[in-house]
Amino acid sequence: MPVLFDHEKSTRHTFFHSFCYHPKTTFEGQYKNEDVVVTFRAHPITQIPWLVTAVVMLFAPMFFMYFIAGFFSIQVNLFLLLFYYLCVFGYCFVNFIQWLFNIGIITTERVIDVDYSNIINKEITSASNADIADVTVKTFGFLPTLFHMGNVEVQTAGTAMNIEFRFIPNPDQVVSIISQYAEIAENG
Amino acid sequence: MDNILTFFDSVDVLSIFIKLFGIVLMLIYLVFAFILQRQVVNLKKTVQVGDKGFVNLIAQIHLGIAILIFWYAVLFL
Repeated sequence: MPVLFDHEKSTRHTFFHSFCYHPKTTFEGQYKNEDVVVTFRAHPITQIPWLVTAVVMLFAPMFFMYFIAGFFSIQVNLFLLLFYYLCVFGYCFVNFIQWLFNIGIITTERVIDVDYSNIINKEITSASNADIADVTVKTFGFLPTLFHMGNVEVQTAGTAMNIEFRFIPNPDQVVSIISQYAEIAENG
Repeated sequence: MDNILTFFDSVDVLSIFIKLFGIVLMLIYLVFAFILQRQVVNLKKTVQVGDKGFVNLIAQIHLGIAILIFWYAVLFL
């Protein structure tokens, strides 16, 4: 008899909230007796490229303002600078909410994938634990191995859509949890 | 023709162009900031991420700053 993952229901957050055990998260369409077991996002290390870009963008005006400052009045220069930093702020904010709301949820009833690819597209896919046919973990490359992250593919039976979680921390644990709940659903 | 040339001589065409450019740029950005703020509200309805309203606050600050810079473009450019 396998020991179920959620035998102790303490809330625990790891990897900068990208892997949360029994979080106090609720979601739209949640059933009355459905408990959230784990939520996960992309590993924080995947956010490094846009963070580096943002830091470079923060200091870039020091160089280009030196060249263009003489062309315009003080008011225009100030406007350009304010607009530029607003764009940097917007860039950081969009990237942050893309990470925050691209979330995978494992509940006692199903697996849910919320995809927020850009500011106007949102896609929610869910698969009942009873419909899960196969769960695969793929870890490839130097960085995923080093930081213990990978892709998890959840294949469903019938016409239900397959679900893929990309670059998530602890992928083997996710597979183990999904498999456990799929087994319980199968055995009734 | 002479009237048009006299008009362009009397008015600084470049400053008008810069002002219009700034206003249009900020109007486009305002639309973006507004959509972003609405989308954050929608996403928070979809998933409660337990941020205690922090993300919503940031979206509103972002929209507020965009409005301020828009008014700066209207009044001072």
